[in-house]
Amino acid sequence: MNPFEQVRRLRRARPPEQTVARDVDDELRFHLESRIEELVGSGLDSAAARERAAREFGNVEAARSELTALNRRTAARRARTRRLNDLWLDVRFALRTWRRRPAMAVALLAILALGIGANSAIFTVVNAALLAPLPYRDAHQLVHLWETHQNGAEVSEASYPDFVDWRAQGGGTFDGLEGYDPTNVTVAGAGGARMTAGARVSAGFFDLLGVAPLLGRTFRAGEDVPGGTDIAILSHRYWRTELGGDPGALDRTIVVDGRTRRIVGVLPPGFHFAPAGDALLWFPLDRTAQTRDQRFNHWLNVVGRLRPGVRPDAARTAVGVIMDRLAATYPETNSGRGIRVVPLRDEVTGDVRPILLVLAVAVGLLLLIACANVAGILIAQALGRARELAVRTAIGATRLRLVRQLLTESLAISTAGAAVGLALAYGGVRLLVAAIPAGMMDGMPFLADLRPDPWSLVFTAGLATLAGLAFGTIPALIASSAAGIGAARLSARFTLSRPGVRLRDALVVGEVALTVVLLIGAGLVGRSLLTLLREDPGFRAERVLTARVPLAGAAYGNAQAQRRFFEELLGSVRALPGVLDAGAVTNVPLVGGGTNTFRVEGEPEPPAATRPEAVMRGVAGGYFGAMGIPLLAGRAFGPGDDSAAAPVIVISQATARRHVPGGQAVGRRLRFYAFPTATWEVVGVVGDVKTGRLDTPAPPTIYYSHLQAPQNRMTLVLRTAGDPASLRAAVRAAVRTLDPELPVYQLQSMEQVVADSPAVFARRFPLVLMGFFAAVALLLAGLGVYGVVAFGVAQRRHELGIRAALGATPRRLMRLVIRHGALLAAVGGVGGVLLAVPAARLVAGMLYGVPITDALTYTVVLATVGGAVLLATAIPARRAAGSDPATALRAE
Amino acid sequence: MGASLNLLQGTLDVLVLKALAWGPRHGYATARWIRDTTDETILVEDRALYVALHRLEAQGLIEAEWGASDNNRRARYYRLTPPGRAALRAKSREWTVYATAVFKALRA
Repeated sequence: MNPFEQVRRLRRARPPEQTVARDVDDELRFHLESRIEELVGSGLDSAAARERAAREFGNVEAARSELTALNRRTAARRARTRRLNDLWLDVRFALRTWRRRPAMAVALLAILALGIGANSAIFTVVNAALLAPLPYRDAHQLVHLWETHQNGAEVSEASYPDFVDWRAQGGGTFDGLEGYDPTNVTVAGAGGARMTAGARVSAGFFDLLGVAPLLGRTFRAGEDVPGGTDIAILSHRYWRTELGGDPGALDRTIVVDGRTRRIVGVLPPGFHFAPAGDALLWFPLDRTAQTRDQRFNHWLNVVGRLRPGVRPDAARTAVGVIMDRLAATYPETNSGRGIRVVPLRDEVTGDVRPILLVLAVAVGLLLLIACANVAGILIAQALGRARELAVRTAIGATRLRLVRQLLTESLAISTAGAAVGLALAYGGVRLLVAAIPAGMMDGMPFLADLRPDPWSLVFTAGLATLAGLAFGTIPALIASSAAGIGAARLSARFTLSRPGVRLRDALVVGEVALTVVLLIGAGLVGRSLLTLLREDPGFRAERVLTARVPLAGAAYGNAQAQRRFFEELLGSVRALPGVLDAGAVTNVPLVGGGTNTFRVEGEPEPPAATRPEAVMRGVAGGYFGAMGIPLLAGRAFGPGDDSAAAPVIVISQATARRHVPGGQAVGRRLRFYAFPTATWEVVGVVGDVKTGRLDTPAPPTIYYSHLQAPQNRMTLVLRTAGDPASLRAAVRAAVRTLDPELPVYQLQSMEQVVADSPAVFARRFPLVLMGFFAAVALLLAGLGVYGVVAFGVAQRRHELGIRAALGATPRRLMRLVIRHGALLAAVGGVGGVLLAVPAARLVAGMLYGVPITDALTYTVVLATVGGAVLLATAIPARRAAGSDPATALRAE
Repeated sequence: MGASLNLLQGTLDVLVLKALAWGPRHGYATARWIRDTTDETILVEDRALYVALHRLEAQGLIEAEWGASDNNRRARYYRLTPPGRAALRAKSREWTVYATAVFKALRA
């Protein structure tokens, strides 16, 4: 018997379970027969011997079933243990295999960790932003209502009377409608006043959302009356950080904007209401009765709970009917006004969804490339192990067993990759969230304190398994079939099978193609961002410092005090060394702001639905100079334009061009529909400024002086000689000197404001990540090409040697090798472009001034990939060029 | 002496282990060894003996293998495993201590 046959017999020696019963029978029969024989030998007759043996034995049938059951249990337990042992052996073997090739293991681990880590990080953010439910009862029934105007072109908050009418007439559609009004408040404290985000809400707001307080109660009907009630509800976070989680918080008070409020409730942890920003303090609505009567005054945000079964579309139609009725009854304020009903989820995540979808796709592509790369490496490596596998086949390992072993190896490395990847994801999520500017973060409180959660762990584990199977199965199958071939000729050098070569080539082509897709995506967004940043925003952002100063408390209750404070503040900061110009504005550019409708005197009365409309900005000091907004005609505001003088305004060029026919705007007068008694004279025209978004045209804007319409909240704007950041402390000190109780916030350069503005962020954030993914993809694809080509050169050493012997020049040999790489790159490049055209639609919403088929981007990407492939081919090509006929012959 | 004694709990196990201490035996030989060495004082029902054998096998104290008997028939041979040998040592010691104590008490 040959030794292999013996090994096989040993492997099969374990009894199958079916034989358990027969074995018990055999054993008992042997016992009884032996005993009977012995008794007969001692002289008993056979019947007596039989009877005595049976008596000595006891109940044979019972013994039989008892033993059979016992043995079956034992056999089952042993099989389980054996399987576990085999698995453990496989794992130990896999680890030993990797330990023998540490460089390879580290390379594979790094690739996988990066792929899996990036995917987990993105998934964690996607999960929190898009998949996790909103923390409200039956959140799918919640909608946000916006009024539309200019025939649907613009949206605004609702006016209070409109809201009251919706409530009264929308009973068939809504189970409830409630309003909220986000606000920043100043809270007095031991370390001076602190600016805190808050919101004023109608009494049933929390009940509508279905939120039960952790402590105390929510608001009650009647508490949201004009003037409000001196009570407050705290968010869980505020309660923990500012009150130390005091269980007796309900007996305490806080001083908000100079008003003492009793704490009546604390909200549960995990509650957030993103549309109101990161509001930490909640108060009942307190606007005056007068404000609540103004149908032209749009300030109330409205959320509604749809009746079960009512779709948002149906709600839109129903409220649309109410709005039409209101337009007929109140044409002065309501003509041209409509309604937009947005599911609350879209309202919360609508802005980030396209960004996150693009990132999810991009990072998925990266994982595919990583897997293809690892698969390529493993195929090469598995073929290199054909001899080892052949030996193991010969000593009895089945093909299934080999495949399992190889899969265990790939799963071991992918599990390790997942573990490292998870650590990367942990850090990655923090980086991702830290990269979101504070202004945008306020709209996404669910991203605060984000870390990989159990779902992300499940996701990562799933990814690792999938990746391990995906890149492990094919090499395992190829290698195990190769083992069969190898077994036939153990000593012969194994040559690469055709399917193996083709598959590796295909994998590399796929890597190149996906890399091209990623690069094109990143390239298009990058070009858009550059185009966007080259746009003239209408102001000069460099060397400008901004700082928001809100006036709060009884001391600033009157217009005079507000006016005096900002004048004094401007006077003191203008005197600071390094300040070239100083002004203030109600809202800096790019942060949006309210609008007003108006009519120009001397022009025909416009239809109510299409009245001229402009963004309003109150300014102080030398705002236009400080912000770098050019004066085109007339004059800017002067100190004489005060409350005693006639009301004057400065308008933007777009306002003049669009709404003041005749070309001569200075000297014309206009009237705002909201303040019908006053007329305002245009004294100057300034350049257009993108007051809203950088990627939309500058809207018509009208400026007025705070001396004539004082403000309690303005942003200081300083043009500086040097680095604006160096003046931050001085600005704080200047405010503190005037009033130590006042907070200063959003102390940042105007360049920062631009960088953090939604239009820029929505491109820069995905661009940075896509660029990173694309760079890694390019590296991996280059390594993939290198691996295939270098392996090909090693395989063809003999052939190349013969060619050299026959007179092929090194140049010719190099060309031969480079052709291989170039072919892979060409096929991959073409495939990539074909994939990129549909894939680029995903980023279409992020593009600005660049078509999705931008020829320049495509050309640069293809050239980059071509260059990388050439570089990857160069090393093996040089090696081929150095082929020595003698070595080739000796190797044989 | 034909009187049979009820076996104390665990006694059969230690007897079986001891029976196998001298080398592999099949079940029948084990039964005979116990009968012979105890001068038929301790009468063990064969059924109980087999249950003990199989239970000890499941516990890993002994292992079984099919082999040929003296008259060349298929028989199941049991053999002590190293843990079985250790268990035998421990149980014999326990038993001796116990029996000595009982003796002392009865002779007092």
